[in-house]
Amino acid sequence: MNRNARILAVDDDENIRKVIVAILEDEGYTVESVGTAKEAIEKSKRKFYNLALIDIRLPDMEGIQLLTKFKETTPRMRKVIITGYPTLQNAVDAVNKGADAYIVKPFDVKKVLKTIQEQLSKQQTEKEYSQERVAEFIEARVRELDMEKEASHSSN
Amino acid sequence: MLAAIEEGLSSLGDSPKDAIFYHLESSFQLKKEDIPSNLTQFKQALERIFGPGAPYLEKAITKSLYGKLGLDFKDEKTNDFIDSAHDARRRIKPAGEVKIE
Repeated sequence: MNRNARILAVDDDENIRKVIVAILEDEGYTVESVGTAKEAIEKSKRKFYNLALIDIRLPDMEGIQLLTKFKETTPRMRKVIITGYPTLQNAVDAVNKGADAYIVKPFDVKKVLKTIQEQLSKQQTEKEYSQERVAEFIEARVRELDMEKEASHSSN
Repeated sequence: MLAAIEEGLSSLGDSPKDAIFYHLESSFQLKKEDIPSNLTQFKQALERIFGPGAPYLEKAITKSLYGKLGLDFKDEKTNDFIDSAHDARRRIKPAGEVKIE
């Protein structure tokens, strides 16, 4: 479990932001919060966040739209949509636009924490998998170079 | 310098970094501790392994080196790893005889 993870909470309701920050900081996460999509985009350009909790309704942009932006700028960040208005259409849109999970308000703290842990764990697995792929590439490439070297030695 | 190289290669992750050091020694006869005094050989090995991707790693190493030395890093397309290391050495030396190793 990645307790050093950095989380960005995006919600226009200050009280909700305070609650999210308090709960997650208690769990050992580093949490920052913003009230608008614009601030969220700016922050994500300056720093890497492992996960963003995004309210579906933001004052300057729909949360779903913000997902699309994040997908372009920070594809490795896990994106969790929060909604107080759970509809099937919302859920389908969120997933289609790149949400990794969906949380319904009012919060069930245990469920929120479980969702976050699951997403961070998936992120870690993906990271390890891609590192393994790079290591395999290096291995294969060096073997290729060794073979080239041997071939040129034997032809000389 | 070696710490900057480790940090730069870590941008790929720990296992790729370890794989690079392992193959530098086994296939390029370049031991980790000898890299700072053989930067040209190191650069050539990276270019052989990664091809057009090598400058990305060189830039990551240079950025880390400059950060460690408190120097401003300007991200330019023309950044050359060896030139940047020499530039850092030149800029640091008069101030406090810091050895880039």
